[in-house]
Amino acid sequence: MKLFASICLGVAGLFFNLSCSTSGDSLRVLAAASLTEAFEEIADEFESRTGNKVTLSFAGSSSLAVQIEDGAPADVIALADEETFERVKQSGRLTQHDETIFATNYLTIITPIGNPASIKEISDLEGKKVALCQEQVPCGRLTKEIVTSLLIEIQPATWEPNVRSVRTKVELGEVDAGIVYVTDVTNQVVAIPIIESEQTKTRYPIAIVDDAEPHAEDFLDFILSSTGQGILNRLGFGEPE
Amino acid sequence: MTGIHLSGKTKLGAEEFEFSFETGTHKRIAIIGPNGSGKTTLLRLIAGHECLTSGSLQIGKAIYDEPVSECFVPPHLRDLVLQHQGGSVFPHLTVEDNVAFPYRAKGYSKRNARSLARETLEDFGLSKLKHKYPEQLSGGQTARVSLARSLTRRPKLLLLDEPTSALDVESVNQIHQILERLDTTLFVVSHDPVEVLKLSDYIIALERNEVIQFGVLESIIHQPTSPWLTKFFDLNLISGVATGLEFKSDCGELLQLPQHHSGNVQISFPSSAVSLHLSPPTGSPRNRWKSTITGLDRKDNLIRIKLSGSFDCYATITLASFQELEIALGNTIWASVKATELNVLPNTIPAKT
Amino acid sequence: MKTKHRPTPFSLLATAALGFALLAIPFVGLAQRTPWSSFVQIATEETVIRSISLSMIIATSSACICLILGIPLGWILAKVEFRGLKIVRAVVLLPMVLPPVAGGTALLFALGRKGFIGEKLNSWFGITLPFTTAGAIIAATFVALPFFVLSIESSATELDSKLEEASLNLGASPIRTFFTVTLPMLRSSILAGIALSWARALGEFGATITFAGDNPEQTRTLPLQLFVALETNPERAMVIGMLMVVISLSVLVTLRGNWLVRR
Repeated sequence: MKLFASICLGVAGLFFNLSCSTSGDSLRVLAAASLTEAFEEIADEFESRTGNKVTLSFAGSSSLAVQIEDGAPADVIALADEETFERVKQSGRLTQHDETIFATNYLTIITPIGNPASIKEISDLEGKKVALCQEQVPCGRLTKEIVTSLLIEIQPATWEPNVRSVRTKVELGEVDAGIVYVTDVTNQVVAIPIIESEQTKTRYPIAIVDDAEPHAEDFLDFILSSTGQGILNRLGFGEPE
Repeated sequence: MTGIHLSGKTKLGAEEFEFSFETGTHKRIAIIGPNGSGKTTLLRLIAGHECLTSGSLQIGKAIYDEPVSECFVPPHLRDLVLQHQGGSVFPHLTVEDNVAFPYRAKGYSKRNARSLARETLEDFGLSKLKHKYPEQLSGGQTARVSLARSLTRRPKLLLLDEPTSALDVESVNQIHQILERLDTTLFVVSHDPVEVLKLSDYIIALERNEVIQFGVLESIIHQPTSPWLTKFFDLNLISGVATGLEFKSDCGELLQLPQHHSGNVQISFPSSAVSLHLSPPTGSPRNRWKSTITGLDRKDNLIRIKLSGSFDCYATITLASFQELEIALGNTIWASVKATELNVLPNTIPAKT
Repeated sequence: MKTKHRPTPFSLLATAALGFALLAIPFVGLAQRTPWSSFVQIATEETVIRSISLSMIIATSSACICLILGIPLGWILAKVEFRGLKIVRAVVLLPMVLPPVAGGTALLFALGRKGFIGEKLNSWFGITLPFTTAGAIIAATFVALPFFVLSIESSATELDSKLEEASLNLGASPIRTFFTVTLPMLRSSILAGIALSWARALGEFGATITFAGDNPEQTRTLPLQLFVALETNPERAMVIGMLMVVISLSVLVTLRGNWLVRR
């Protein structure tokens, strides 16, 4: 009985702690999945220079939009396209600050090492086993835009929930090819450029959520600074246009 | 010829068993012994639900289990049936389908198996129950259904684990009547000395997971080698003729019977049911006779007294009543026993002399 | 409230009510937000109907496979003693505690096009499992089978082995005994196992999307449809969620709660 009571008390205490743990001065940043490596590096650099802690959380842009709509705690939000960002703005949590474009990106075909299906250009994807991003995430929307404009019809074997799981399916050789951002290319895959896609870029908006921590502005400035931009460029992102 | 010759050891968990006996040409075998002495294990070993770790089991001319030659006949290929205590009637089948089960196992069609089963049920007077499920049956009915099912396999050997335990007197008699008619070799585990006397002529006695004695019934009754056996068989047996409620011993002594009987019978009663009196007793025990004390044997607080007269029998009384009676070897004394203490058996067993 | 013999202590009643509330309240929330006026219209959309039928096909096939594989497995775990029994049991139950995504990844490594078995399947028979309905069935079975096995094992353990022995004694072969005595005795737990594994397969998401991907024709079951809808069209998501609640609840209720609770 005593044990039971103390367990109950313990659980109650834990609940109280967890539900109040908004971790003081740490900056909470929600970022699109394609920004994973870039933002991890930028956050490290920012922390070591300013001493302010940054907590990162990555997901597909549309998932992040849903999180913001549902009231997830956040100070800064960075997405992979402007269309999804419109939804975030409609949530009414971005009234105090305007968004800024901080990077651009475009798509490329990737294949498993050795390119077993001998893909040379985007039209070769017709009739092949292909993984694409689901249409509600920015990379999926961008893919659809390009494919439609080229009058190609691709029947993907799978619609993946974000760009990183497209890459995983390609890396594992489960599909013949996938379409991802140029920034997602690793040495585990072979990249085959889509000439047309360099004109169809996606622009990455970033904004400060209402009632954010004061350091949010510093973080945003840091991303736009030459150091932040340098990291982004090195990882393949284009300059904001 | 289904004599069993078993000589071997087995191990179940931490318990070790060693069985060694043979039954020769006897067809009515009882396995007796205190609780936990290995009786059920012995049956399971013969049926093939346990196997020997050494030694061999021979039934008739065939070896059934012999670890050294890696011979083991699986249970379903042994021409015998083990009927568990309680009957193990299949709860999901009707009485008819339970009895038809061995036919189905032999490959008969459902229709043929059922019609054969109905014949068996007819023989057993169970026809009315054929569409019932086991949970709707009484204990006695279940026991009869189980027996009917065992016999439809026409086994050479029928192993029964306490076939009448927890049954009412009426049902016990019914089961005994069926078993007495059988031609099959019977192995019966029993806790009831009267049942043993009724159903068997050969005894395998177990104690502490070993066979301590085996042989024909008389020899075990006359020369029990353990206190437990002595106590188990502490029965007086008298042959004679029954006419209605009256029994006349071969020597002409008259005794009252608890039920109506007729013809040659034996009556049995435990020695502890015999009372001794210095003068002819009056009152309820009408069964009385005059005897001479020809033997005395003391065990702790109990005295076993051998009485000789028109028939021989034993009486067991406490030390206190013995001293009160002030009796000695050679004295003449009155013995009595209540009619309700008498058990009547068909006359197949030679009486103790 | 009716109690059988003695009054239920208030503290237990209160705690039980709290537990029930935790389970029930989310569905109240869902029901309250569901746009009932457009429910039928959304629920009968072609894509939703396709997802429903895919879900039915996958859950039913998966339950059938569980039935075929799970009965012998559960029975052996309960009745046969062998070296490594504990390890086998732990492996069988692993998918219950493993995140389904991890299970899906593991399936990819084994049965994917480059997996150590999948590679053979592909090069010898031209069979590839990922992104096909067959793959989705395997993913669903992977997570549902342990529920079935557990249900069989627990009742096979309690099974009176004397009945099986009696059957052997009456001349039935071991395999005949299994079908005519063991299976009928396990009837209620088999039914409970089917219900549980069917329901688990119906709700499967993580292993499916990881191993079988999201293919509208082949693998987009209701949970995957729900996941997409959640980020694009919340109304649709609520309708699909409610649809799953209705389907699962009606199955669990028609299969009678008492099959799931051992009497």
